[in-house]
Amino acid sequence: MSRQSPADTTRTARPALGSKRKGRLVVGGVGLVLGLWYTWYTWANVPMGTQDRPGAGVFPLAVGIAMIAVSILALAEAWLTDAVSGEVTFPKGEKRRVLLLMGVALIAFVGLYQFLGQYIASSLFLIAGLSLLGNRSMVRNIVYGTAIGVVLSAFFMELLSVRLPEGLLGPTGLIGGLFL
Amino acid sequence: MNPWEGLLYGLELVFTPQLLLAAFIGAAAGTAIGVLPGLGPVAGAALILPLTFTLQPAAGLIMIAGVYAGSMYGGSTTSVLMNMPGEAASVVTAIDGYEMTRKGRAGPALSIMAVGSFIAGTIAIILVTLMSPLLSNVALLFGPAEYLALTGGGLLILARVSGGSPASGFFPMVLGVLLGTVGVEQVTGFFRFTFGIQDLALGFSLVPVAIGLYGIAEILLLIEDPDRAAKVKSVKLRELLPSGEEWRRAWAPWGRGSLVGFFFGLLPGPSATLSSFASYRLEKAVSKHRDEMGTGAVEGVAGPEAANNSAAVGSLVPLLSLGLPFSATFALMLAAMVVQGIQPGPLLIEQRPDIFWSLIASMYVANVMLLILNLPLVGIWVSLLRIPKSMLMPGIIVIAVLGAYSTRFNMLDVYVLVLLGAIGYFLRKLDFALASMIVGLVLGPFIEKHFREGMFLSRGDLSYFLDSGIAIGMWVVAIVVLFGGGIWKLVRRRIVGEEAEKVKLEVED
Repeated sequence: MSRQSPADTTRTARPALGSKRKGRLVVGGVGLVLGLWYTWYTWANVPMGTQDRPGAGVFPLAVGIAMIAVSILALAEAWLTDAVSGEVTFPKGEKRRVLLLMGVALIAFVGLYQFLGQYIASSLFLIAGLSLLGNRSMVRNIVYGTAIGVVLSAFFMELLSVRLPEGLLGPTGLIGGLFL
Repeated sequence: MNPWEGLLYGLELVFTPQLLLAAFIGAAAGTAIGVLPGLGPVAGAALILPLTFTLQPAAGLIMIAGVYAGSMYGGSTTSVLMNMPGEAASVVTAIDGYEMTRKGRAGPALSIMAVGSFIAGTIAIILVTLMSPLLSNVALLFGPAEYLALTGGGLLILARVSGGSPASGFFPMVLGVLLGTVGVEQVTGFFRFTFGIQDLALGFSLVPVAIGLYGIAEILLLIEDPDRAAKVKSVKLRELLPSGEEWRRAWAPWGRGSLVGFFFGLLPGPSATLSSFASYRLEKAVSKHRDEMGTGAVEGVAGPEAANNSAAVGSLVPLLSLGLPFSATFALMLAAMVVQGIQPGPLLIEQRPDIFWSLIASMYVANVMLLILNLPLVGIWVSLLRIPKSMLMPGIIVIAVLGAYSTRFNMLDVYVLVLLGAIGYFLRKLDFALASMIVGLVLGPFIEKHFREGMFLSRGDLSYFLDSGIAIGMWVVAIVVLFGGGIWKLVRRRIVGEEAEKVKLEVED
């Protein structure tokens, strides 16, 4: 790696934008839009009260202005300086496929959590996770996924009495209702 | 009650079967959490938090304290054995700890770590015992102006020192404060930013935010890079005993690390991490064996480990006496206290001495538990790492989802968990500091409360907030931390620039 002299540094006015700086520009931009909308919304919809009796909107207004300020700071820092530099690496190929599919499985798990209930939803998610992340046979994935899902759910729901969605297995559920 | 009577009272309270069991479960769960990849002290404490609501206040808080101490220890175990720090405070331990493992001294490194943590914890508890009543007396002088300076200034300092660049700390901090404004406003009952969604009336809960930012985001990072885990080195019980020489070399770094750590614990910021780095630097400067540092020196393990444990205990002082959490884990502890109807602050020691002293005593008990649990059972903890990641990661996600749901039995918290997990994943990739977001979410409502109380009291006179010496002093400290570094750089550049100019002229002559 070659060392730059101070003269070289002044000649190269602005270092090239790496993907990390580009990403921070996006984050700063999103923050700025959020800050502007939040400040406008507070000003238009939340009561400000009087100076001696400040209303519910005073503090959020200050927070909104602060959000705008830190977003501009993030944008300026990413655009003008190399305080944070380098490349952001995202997975490629098979790793990206696995990550995206795990994301989809997580969203499906959360989306169906209340309908299916803790026992069924967690077992199905575990089967999906085991299939995506491991290289066992499908039969083993189903056996392990169901076993881990049932044990985890029973530990929290039966042993620790944590109230979790019962879904299909609950008294009003499609399966649980059959046994009542 | 004098401090020593208080400590004895706390120990007496803690030595009940229920509280000892809570300390045991907390320490064991914490060690497992620290050893396993994907869950650090923050996500671990957040997962335990909903369970603590069903326990007595003291038992719940003791369990969280146990998780905190245990996860720090568990994180250091993987640092030493696998060069894989479980959390940021163990990064330094990995330097010499892993070198000791490569030299076949893994067992002694673990013993030095465990005994050092215990000694540091003991020293820090003695200092906390002596200091807390003193600080409580000072804290009684605090009104809204001083509290605003303390919470607002403390948050700004934390954001500045925890992030690398200014925007890395301030951006998540304001985002956290912004999230804290959502929900029913406490004074007038106005529904802020709820958009007709009834579930938003209670605001964003800390648990899904913390688990999402730390737990889910870390799991996503692990899924994309499964090679982060290394081969596990097994340690036998008979290999744990350090040699006489190793014992002798550990004593002084333990003492120095304990004092450095305690001092850092009193300050805002990631005290455990900063203190471990500071202790390592100190050992490099003063140790007789400084030449061996980085190649498996006992001092490189003993000092930082004592420091991060002492800092963890020291951080209890601002939390208990001023109600200020200076780290994400203590923000969770504060949330647990508030749910249990306990308001930490100067009056805690007077109004709830049982909570105050039992929590301090529990840190000590947790340390003893860790010593008993961890050294003989090190093989079991390490074997946790042999659980296939294809089972571990979906299992942790399931626990995270049910942990988020069980906080308020609300699906909104589960959606927040997933959303914050995705946000945390991207923000971590872009080097933003997430601790300031969590502390911002917790302290934001306190800042608003103190501000509005001050405005009511002073009838709208803003100068009230700079009326007292304490408030002015705190804002000055915050301003110095925020701008001092930048100004110093400018001054130095000016001086260095002038000197460089002089040198240039001399060369030309």
